[in-house]
Amino acid sequence: MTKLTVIHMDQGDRLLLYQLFWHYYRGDLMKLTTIDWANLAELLRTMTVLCESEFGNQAITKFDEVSEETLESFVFDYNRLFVGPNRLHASPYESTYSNFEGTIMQQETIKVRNFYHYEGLQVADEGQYPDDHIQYELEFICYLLNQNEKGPDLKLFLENHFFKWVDKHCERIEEHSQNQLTLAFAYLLKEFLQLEKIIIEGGEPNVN
Amino acid sequence: MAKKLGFLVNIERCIGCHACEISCKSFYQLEPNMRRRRVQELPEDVVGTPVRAFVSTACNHCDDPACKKACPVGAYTKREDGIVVHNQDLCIGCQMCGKACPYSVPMFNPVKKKMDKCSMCYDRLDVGQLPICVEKCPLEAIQIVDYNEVQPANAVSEIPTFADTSITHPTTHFILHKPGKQSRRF
Amino acid sequence: MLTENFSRRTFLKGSASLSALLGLGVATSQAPKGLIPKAQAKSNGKVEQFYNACPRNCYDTCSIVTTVEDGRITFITGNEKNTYTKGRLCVKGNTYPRVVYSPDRIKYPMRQKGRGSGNWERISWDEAYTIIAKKILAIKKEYGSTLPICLNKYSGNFNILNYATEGMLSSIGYTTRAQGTPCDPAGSDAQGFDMGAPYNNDPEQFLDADYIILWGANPAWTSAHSMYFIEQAKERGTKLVVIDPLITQTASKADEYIQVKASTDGALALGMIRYILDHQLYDKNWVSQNSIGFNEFFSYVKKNITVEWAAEKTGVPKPVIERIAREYATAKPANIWIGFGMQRHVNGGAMVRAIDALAAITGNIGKKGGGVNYIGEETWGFNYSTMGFGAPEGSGGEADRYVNMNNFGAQVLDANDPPIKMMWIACRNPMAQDPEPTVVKKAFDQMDLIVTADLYMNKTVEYSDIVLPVTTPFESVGVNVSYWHYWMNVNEQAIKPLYETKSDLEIAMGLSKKLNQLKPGSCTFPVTGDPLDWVEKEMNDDIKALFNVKSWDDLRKNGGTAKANESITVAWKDLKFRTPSGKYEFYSKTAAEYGHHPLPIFTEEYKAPKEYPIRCMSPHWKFGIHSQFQHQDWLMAIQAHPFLEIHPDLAKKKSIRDQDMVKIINETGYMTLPAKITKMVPADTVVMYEGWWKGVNYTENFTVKALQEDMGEHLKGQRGIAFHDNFVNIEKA
Repeated sequence: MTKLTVIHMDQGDRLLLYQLFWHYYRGDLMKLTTIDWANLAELLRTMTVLCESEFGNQAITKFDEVSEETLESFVFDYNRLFVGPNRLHASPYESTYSNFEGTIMQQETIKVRNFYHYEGLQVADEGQYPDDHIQYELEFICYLLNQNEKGPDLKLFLENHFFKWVDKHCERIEEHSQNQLTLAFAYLLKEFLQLEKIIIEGGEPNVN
Repeated sequence: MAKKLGFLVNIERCIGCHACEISCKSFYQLEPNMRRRRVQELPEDVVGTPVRAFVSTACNHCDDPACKKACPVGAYTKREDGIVVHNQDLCIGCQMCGKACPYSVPMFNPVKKKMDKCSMCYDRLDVGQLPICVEKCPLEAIQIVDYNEVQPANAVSEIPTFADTSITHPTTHFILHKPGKQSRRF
Repeated sequence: MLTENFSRRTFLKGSASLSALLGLGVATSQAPKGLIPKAQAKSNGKVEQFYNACPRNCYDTCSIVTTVEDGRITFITGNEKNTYTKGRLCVKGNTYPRVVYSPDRIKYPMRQKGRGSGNWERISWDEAYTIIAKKILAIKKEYGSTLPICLNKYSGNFNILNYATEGMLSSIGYTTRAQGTPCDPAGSDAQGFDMGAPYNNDPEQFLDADYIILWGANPAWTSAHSMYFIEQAKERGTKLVVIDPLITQTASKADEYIQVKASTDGALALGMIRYILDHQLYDKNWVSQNSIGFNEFFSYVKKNITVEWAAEKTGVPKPVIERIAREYATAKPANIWIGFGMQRHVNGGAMVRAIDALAAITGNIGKKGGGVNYIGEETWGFNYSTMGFGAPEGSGGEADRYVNMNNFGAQVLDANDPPIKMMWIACRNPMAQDPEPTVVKKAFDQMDLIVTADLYMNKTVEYSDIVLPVTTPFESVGVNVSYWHYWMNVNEQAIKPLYETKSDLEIAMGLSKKLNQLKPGSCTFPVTGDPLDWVEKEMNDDIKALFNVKSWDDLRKNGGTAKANESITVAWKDLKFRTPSGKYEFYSKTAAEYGHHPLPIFTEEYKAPKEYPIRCMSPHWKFGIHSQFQHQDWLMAIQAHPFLEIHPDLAKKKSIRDQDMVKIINETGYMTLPAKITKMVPADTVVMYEGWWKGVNYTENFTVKALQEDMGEHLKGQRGIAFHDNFVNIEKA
């Protein structure tokens, strides 16, 4: 991964990216056109730090070059990775990554639930959908990020939860992806995670 | 007199079903690969005539626990009633205990980065409940015995596949499989 | 939606530009609702317990206690109030938390673009119902009836409310049904001819037996709770004899194990009978008072059967047959349990009739602790109110059409006038569990629409167009009884259904609602209803009296489990048989009406073809029930791959060593799997355990032909299948 010396992403960019992933994992982006994807690429290009990173750049290029064929198989690949009905290749649940066989609704799930509760929130259909689905974690992060006074809570949540598993999640996508868009999102998320770690932890990014 | 608690495993009753192992795993919500109790197949000629025979073992709560001696941070204690307890909070995951145990009982949990082993459910015993494996075996093939009180007549401390007992003096005893008559074509 | 609110409120660069750019409207998404302000009353750390019932196709049908903390299942174990379950579950039942929380569960209704392509798109329940309902209506219009729609449902979940699927199909008109059972049909017919019905003693009565013969049954693997009573009896001095071609786990526990040549058990029973008759060890009073046709049967045996012949035929030495016959005839009471596996042969029904006769001449039928125990259905008298709505007015056709579940593929292909165009599959995995899977696949190919309701991806789902996600027992209500023990178990809803899963009953109501929206009056199944009301409706006065309960809710509040009263737990206690004569029928006119010999005569076994001389048996496996359980991670951690058991002599002949890959082949198919060299199987037989293994592309049925058993039509509508008359050859791969 590219070594970055100057890290700069403003709050707005960060929120935009978290929101983008939130929409992605909610399944809101399944019907975008090639033009939409190109527009997204253009927007992302305004974030210098992303463009200059190896995987950020690759992701943006992929958005730019989305073909009709890619769009056709996007939903199938997305479902293979995150939805089903087959065994999920890249489970979107945190607890999957803290036990070998990927069982859901484990102790980790309850820890995430308790975090939401602490902030006065809960999953609308609590008990029906595992609380640690990436979609809820992303929504929660957006919620915290949007309130300056929640900085410490955000740091705690990212460090204890999101940062702990999303790298592995991205690795699995990279391993199993058969589509340029699902791969692009894995690259983008992976790179963004590195940048976030630097911002949150103030340290150097990992150099791969 | 202090107790000397140990498992008594009835191989004659054991059907090798693994319910002991899985109920333990379920109760303690262990990782799939973590086993505090394990069921092993014995050689099929173990009693002379060919049979499917199994033995279920957990920690043997030895009189001279090698794990305790090997642990550099004192995470192991032997209670007065004989139960060998591993304190996971103190454990540094160095795996010395697992290497020292002749029965390879302590297992490394790669998620927690700590060792893990059977506690004879001492917290359940302390409130008058049985260990999960004892309570859940469908054949009631596992018991807890105070060997200072009782020496079950037909119990033995050694079985094939079980390491030399003179090293750590395990408390586990076994009731052996009685061979039946067979009229075989082959 | 929090994110919506705060983005409007704060108008940051991110949210605004993204939404504007991509035109994202939250309402269009299929995603569940997001985070909301926490409900005030929420309190963490709440621990509750619920009663559940294991609904699998299993003798033991356990009563379960489920511990739920914060809405999440943390432990599942047996109910101590049930003296058969005894607070303990079998190994499979202990994996239930993983069944519920497996990441592999099917979560949403989905549609496959291109059958078998693996290209799935998520659809809403409404879309799923619409696609299915439109197809049903189109078929009805095109063919003038709903007969081109075929239901294949069986034993994956025996909750009484799951009969809603059958009810739903009946409510759209006359349809085609996969009829029969791969389970017990030949043996059940045999007992039907002899006694009027199969009816077994309470298995807790093994403790009252003086002598037990387990005849082709392996309860150590298939009925662990029965095995407990058998072991208890053994320790009290009851002799346990196991007759089986294989040294099963149960045979390993026997006081005496007798290795019979497969499919010759009838000869063994008749040989024993000859000895008993010759030595006047039979119960003259019993046969004269309670049976018909005894003299004809006696003459048949005298004329046709000798102990020497039986020894030759079965491979059991003459002195052993004589000793076992004497021991069995003189023990009071002596108990026989006939396993289902024993009758999965072309002469299975005849063999069961011979064993029944052995129990009858010794007067062991109608006795507590005795009996010739096979299966029973005395406790199944529910209302089945989900099934009673009938075809709507104007349905074409006159009655349902049947195809044999045991030869499903071929009979679906053969069905014409009208052809079968749509399949609904529930509680079944025919692509893995049926014989001749290639033929089943051909039948699937002919369909316009295949709908499968299931918990997990499996061979059948892989080849479906629409998959509907269903609930586990812990996510819906119900009531269960056993075909073996005498308990009724309540099933409470312990947790919310995960994701978008629904029970078969909810699916039936949902589909009916859609059908009636599209074409009013096209489906008679109710469109709404509380499952709690539905389950309460199953309880009629007879059931309430039999189990001494006031209602389902009453039982739920009082232990969750109830045992039938003693009037029915000893089979045929009143010696009033349900045959035409009211007596035990050695001579059965009903049998003759179905084309069988009226007497329990010897019937030859299936002969191995020359090219395929090795019998391949596929008995049940200890970590699975058909295609269920084995794929759970905790069980995979113990055994992750199927294997073939081979006797050392056969292995030597074929130069196969332990763990070598072995190719097993016959005219139906082939597969390659690792060898396990063991003396547990005879040298003329190999064993591959039945079941569905995750990540494995074959099943034991790859070499199984749809070879019929001799009986089944009388009580089950169709003959069964001779799973164990499967002959193959093997070679080192």
